[in-house]
Amino acid sequence: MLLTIMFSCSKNTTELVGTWQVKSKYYKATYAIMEENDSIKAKVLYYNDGTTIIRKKDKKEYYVFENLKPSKNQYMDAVSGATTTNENKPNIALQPIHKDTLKVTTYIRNKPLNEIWIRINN
Amino acid sequence: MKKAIQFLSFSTVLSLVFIACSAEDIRNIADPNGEKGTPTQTTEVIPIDINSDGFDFMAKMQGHWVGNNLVINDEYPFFAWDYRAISSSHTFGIHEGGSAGNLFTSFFVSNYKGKRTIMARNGGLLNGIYRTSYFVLDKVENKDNGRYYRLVDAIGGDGIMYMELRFPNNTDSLYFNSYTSGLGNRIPNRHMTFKGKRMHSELAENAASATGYPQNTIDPELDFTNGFNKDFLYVKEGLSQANSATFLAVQETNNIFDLAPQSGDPYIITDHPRLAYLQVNIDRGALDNDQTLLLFLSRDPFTDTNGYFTSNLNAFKTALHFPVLSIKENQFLMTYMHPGTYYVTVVADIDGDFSISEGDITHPPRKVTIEPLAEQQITIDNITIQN
Repeated sequence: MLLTIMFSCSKNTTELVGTWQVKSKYYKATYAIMEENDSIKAKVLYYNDGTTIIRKKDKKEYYVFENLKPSKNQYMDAVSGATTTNENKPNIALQPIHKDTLKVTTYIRNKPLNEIWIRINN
Repeated sequence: MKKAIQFLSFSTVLSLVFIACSAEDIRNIADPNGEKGTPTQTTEVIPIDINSDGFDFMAKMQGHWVGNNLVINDEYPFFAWDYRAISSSHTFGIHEGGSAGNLFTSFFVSNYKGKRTIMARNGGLLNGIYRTSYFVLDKVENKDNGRYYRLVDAIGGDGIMYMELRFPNNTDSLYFNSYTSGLGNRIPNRHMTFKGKRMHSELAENAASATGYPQNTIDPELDFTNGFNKDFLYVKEGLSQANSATFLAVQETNNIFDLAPQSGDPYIITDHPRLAYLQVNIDRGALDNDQTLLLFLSRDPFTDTNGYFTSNLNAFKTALHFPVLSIKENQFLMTYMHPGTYYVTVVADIDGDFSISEGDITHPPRKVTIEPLAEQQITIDNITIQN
């Protein structure tokens, strides 16, 4: 699983720590980006695609990504960072466009889906 | 008229629903303990007994569902499923993607694992790959936000793949989502997110009237009292037995009449009652052979008598099929067609945006009525009117 975060301006993980709401007409979601040791992960606080609903109070925890660590000019999970194959491409990229706005690009077969995440609190 | 309605290529959608071809995640809502990316286990399948609850799904599912869809990372601002009865206990909907292939999901009453229940048959044809998978109803719930149904892989359960459908309480609409694992390559995650409203109800009502739908009876060909023939089930590489109720066949060409019998699928295209075929022949006239053509089958005409796009924007919502034809393709066989009357519109997509837009070339309305089980043809010519 290749997970990478690319920061154009900063590798300071605290910049992203907080609660973020996804702007999508297909589903509603709120994620909490948090630090864990020297990496970051995004926990699902709320997710509702019309049929499946995940709530913070649910017993099981879900994560959008986790274990992302800095590697050169980007953040990458430990497994991806240890591999050097041609498949080692990001499948999610986070680009801060404002301190409270993230452009999140998910890649499937190198085709992007762009979303905007809005910080709703710290 | 520009961007009055957007119809995008479905080829990518199809590439994603063919689970044998896909092994990548969408939005990875994964377990926190490193389970993502690891093979998943099958789970026990416990069918719902519809003699107690759940049979109402069959009535609810009927309709022309018009809305939008997100499939993995492809957005479809316009998308539609046309669900109509084809027997007293079987309703069928398909998306015909065109040259690339198609995708259907039908729902029917059956017996499975000792229960009278509802099953689904999902699959289609893509670039020489024929796949069908069977699902069984295992959840029916009255939630705060509507009536909810879940169907899981009839062998692998929700560990392999499942679909969820919810009908909200106060609106005549449908949420239809699917979750797949690449046949066990990963924890199932969101694959398709469709949201639509029921429209043009008379289409399904007429089919229900003709078939006596819905009834809690079983078409003999769709009785799975004895399960599936294990000799024909697809067994994934590395496994000793099937982890999914999936049938698969591969061939260089997209010939469903060859592939369906090869797959071992217990119910194939020729077994469907009522469904018909329509061969659409296109006389390009002065249009270049390399010009991409969009094909629309709709309840209402997309063009006026002069051949220009109609100013009645509601007409575009009546689109029932919207395939995209490959460059140089001048013939297309529409399969699994519900009988009825359709307007057939060919659009030369001049700006290549896969949408109806200014500058595209069209023609005056052409109507065809298809009888049950018919093999019919129509030739579209005079594609000369530039909008």
